[in-house]
Amino acid sequence: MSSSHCEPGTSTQITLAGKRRFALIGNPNSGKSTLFNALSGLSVKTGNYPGVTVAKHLGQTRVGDSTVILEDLPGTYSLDAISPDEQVVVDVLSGVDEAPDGIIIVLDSTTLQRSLGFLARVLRHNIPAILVLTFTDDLQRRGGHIDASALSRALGIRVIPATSGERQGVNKIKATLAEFGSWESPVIAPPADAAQLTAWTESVLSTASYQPPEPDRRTAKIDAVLLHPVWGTLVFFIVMFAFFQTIFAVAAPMQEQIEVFFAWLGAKADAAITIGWLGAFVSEALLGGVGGVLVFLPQIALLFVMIAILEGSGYMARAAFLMDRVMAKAGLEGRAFVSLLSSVACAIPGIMATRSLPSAKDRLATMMAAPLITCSARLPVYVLLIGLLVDPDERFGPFNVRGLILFGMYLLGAVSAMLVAAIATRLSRRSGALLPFYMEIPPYQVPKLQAVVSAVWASAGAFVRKVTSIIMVTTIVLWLLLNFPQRSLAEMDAAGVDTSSETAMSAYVLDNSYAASVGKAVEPVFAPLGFDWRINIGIVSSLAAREVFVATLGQVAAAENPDEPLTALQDMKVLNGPDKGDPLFSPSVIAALLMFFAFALQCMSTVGVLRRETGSWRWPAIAFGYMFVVAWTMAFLAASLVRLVT
Amino acid sequence: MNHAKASLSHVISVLSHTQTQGRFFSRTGRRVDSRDTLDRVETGRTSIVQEIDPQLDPTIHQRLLDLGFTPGTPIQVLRAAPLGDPRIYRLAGYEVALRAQQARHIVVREDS
Repeated sequence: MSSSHCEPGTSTQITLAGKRRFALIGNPNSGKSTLFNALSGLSVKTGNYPGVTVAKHLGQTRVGDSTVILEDLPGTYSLDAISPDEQVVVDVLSGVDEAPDGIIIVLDSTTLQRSLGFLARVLRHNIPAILVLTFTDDLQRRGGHIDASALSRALGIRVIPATSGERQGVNKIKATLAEFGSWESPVIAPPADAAQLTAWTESVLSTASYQPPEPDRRTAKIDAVLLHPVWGTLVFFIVMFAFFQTIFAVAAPMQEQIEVFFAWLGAKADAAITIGWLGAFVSEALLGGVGGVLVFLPQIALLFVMIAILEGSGYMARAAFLMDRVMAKAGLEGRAFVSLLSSVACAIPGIMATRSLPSAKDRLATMMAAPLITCSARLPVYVLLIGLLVDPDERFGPFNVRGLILFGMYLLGAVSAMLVAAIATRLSRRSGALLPFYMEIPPYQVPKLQAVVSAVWASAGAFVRKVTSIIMVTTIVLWLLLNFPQRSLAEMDAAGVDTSSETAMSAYVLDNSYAASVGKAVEPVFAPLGFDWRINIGIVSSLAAREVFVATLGQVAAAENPDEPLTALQDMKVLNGPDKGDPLFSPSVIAALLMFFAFALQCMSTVGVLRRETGSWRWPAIAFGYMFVVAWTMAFLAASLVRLVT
Repeated sequence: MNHAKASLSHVISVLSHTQTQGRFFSRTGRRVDSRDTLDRVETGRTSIVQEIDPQLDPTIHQRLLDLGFTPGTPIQVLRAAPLGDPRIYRLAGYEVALRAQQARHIVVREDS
């Protein structure tokens, strides 16, 4: 940091922007992030620390008559870092990454016996600090006691008792931040030696007349059921069922309304804009593109509401505990389950959920696996393809065959994700030490509304901003490719096109469009799978988002027969080669397409998020590459197999 | 005969001593019985941390200390997951889940 922009005489404690920076540091589950959200409100910005997979949360708050910057450091139990997010804490404390002006140490008052050692090691860094004691209401309720002013005297720093999220505590912290210049610091630094540290902890706790709390009876009673080998497992499955029901059933009506709204808006725009191609562009490319993405917003927002509730209540740690043994089979730990669960809605929140994994290797393995889970964007593609393959009434025993195939696709996604995770962890385990698995099981709490709102606000906002830009650009490009170059009437006449027929004209434009050239250019890659250039356009365009495949095939079919696009799709014939005249969508081609979409990373938004979360292009490139190879191979095998059978 | 038997068992014990030194004897030479590690403590019982396996990787050793598994701390085994592993332990005013793989490195003695 250059100081040339600072005015003469400015203290080095003032940053370039002229704002003081305070970092919140503490153990996981200490209520640190709740406090951070309460202090900074909706001003929270989430980014990444340079070069690592660690999310950086920055916020602002007004104290007195100035604004200060708050930084929520990742929660950690130790300053001996074993994961990248813990390394971030160590780096910030030791000033590698520009040290904060002051630190707010957040400790759960019910676990002081454990966390005072952590506090001691933080204080040894000699950065001005204050201590916030959270959950003091829980401490009291469970028969514990602490004298905060005596603790303050023993430690030599200011101590603020707070019950998380309560206004009074937050205001007191703000007032203390305003008095930054007069913060006290310890007279003698706490000892570093382990044995002396134990003695120091004991003496500090007895000076503060600390009475540790009784075990939480409410939590014990709930856990007797929720972690019971039989009832606990049953409740777990009920919770998961309710989770999926909410994602698909509750979100569906909202999604429909968004679709209806954008269709209406598109029609209005088409009617209002008199220049033909511009009207089509606005209604199909612009509004169609944005609408196609925003349809998934209710699902994403609901998903984050539910995850925030499960997380805030303390059930998520229990779910991870119950699933740990199953996840261990794939070399992962219980917490990775949460991420894979989110991926059923969309791989993007699933990948963002990997931030809770302490091990960078587990995080990468989960990120490589998450895009294989059957996401909601694959659903319309599967429904279309299965619909082309099987009659609606066909049955296998008591089951509907369409439903069976769809279920099989979900199962295929889950199994292959676990397999990939297993392979990825095996590969990475060869280098570096094995991380221990430990997970705090916090007492149950009523989820804080503020935390739920912040989680939804941040993720829904990120979804709309980042994804819309990517998808909007691709849909616009796709529309241009499909509709250009525009042909003159004379040109069409010369080519023998019936210029009195709208259909024949649009078919001619399509067949000679830039998109057709792209489709034909990639033909050598997909020809062994039985795809022709029309399917190839769909595949290329679905790179933007899988559901674009459905829209593209619709556009292609509509160009051939605008009145009956679905029939047109079924009637499409192979144009050349030995099978000329046979239906294009033969069982073998459909099987190949199903496999291709099950495995290929046809989603630039996921690639973008992988880039953002890993901080480099390496991992998205690896994910895209391995998934394409697997997808092509599986599609080829499926097509060959179906051709053998039929 | 008795004498011969005794010396034979002595030889065996010395042999096994040498063979298993790495695993069953701590650096101080004190015998660490494999029954006395945290993963072997029955669910519901409380025991006291004696030490963390000194052979353990130093970072993981430190991490277990930071999690509160310091010598002298009482630990209660609360419950096991449906398939037996991991288990939840209560110590230092909080609850933490550990896999047997980690609990195996925490040497405990009975709560007296």
